[in-house]
Amino acid sequence: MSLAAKRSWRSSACPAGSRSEARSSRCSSYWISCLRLVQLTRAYRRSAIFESALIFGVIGFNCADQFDWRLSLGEGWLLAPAVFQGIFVGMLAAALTEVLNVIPIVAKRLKLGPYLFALLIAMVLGKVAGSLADWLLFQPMHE
Amino acid sequence: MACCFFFGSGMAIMNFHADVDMPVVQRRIIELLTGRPDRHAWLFEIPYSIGVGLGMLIFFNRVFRKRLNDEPNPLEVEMFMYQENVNHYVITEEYAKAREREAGPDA
Repeated sequence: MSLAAKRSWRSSACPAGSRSEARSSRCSSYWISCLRLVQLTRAYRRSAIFESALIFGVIGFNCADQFDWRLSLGEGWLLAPAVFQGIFVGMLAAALTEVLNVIPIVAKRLKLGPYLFALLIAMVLGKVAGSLADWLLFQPMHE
Repeated sequence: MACCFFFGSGMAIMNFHADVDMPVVQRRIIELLTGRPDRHAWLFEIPYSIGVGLGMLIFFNRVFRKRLNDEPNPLEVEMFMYQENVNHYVITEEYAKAREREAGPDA
């Protein structure tokens, strides 16, 4: 990425410096994961689309639930909502401020800075493994 | 430490599922989409689990050693903020001590 593009990112992403970012990470993980998605896709101008998507998602699923709007789609259609819901929950879990607050301290105290990526991957794999174990092992056990 | 994070985050996601009663919600979604209640929709559960991992990777701006772009990820920002706060604390503390030393002989 060129320097000019970098500078334009700096000025557009956090105009008040990184402190505003840290403060926003304290509010709610829902919000930060939405902000993060907008930031990552460089869609500040088009963030209205994200807002509309959230609103329509809430209204649509609420109506479907309350009014019992049933679709009779094939099994294969389950793949798409499953993946997107997974990504949403994953971003939500990653945005939990506990995670973001603990890791810097752990990395500093135990001098694990160089292995940060490995820790991150361990966490991601743990999430996937935990989720799979939950759905495929423990949920069938309860029934 | 990696094991700690692995098992800890696995437990955390299971806690989350139990907390929000995910199995019930998932059965409801499957019922609404396919029109019939299905107790074990592997087609839903496995992509969901993979999506969780994918979502975390997207959040941290990494896809296996490769950065998607060169913005700092939230973790780096958080580590920077932690260091900044520690520095700020130390400096403030030192100033307070110096002021005490200055005021010490008079008092």
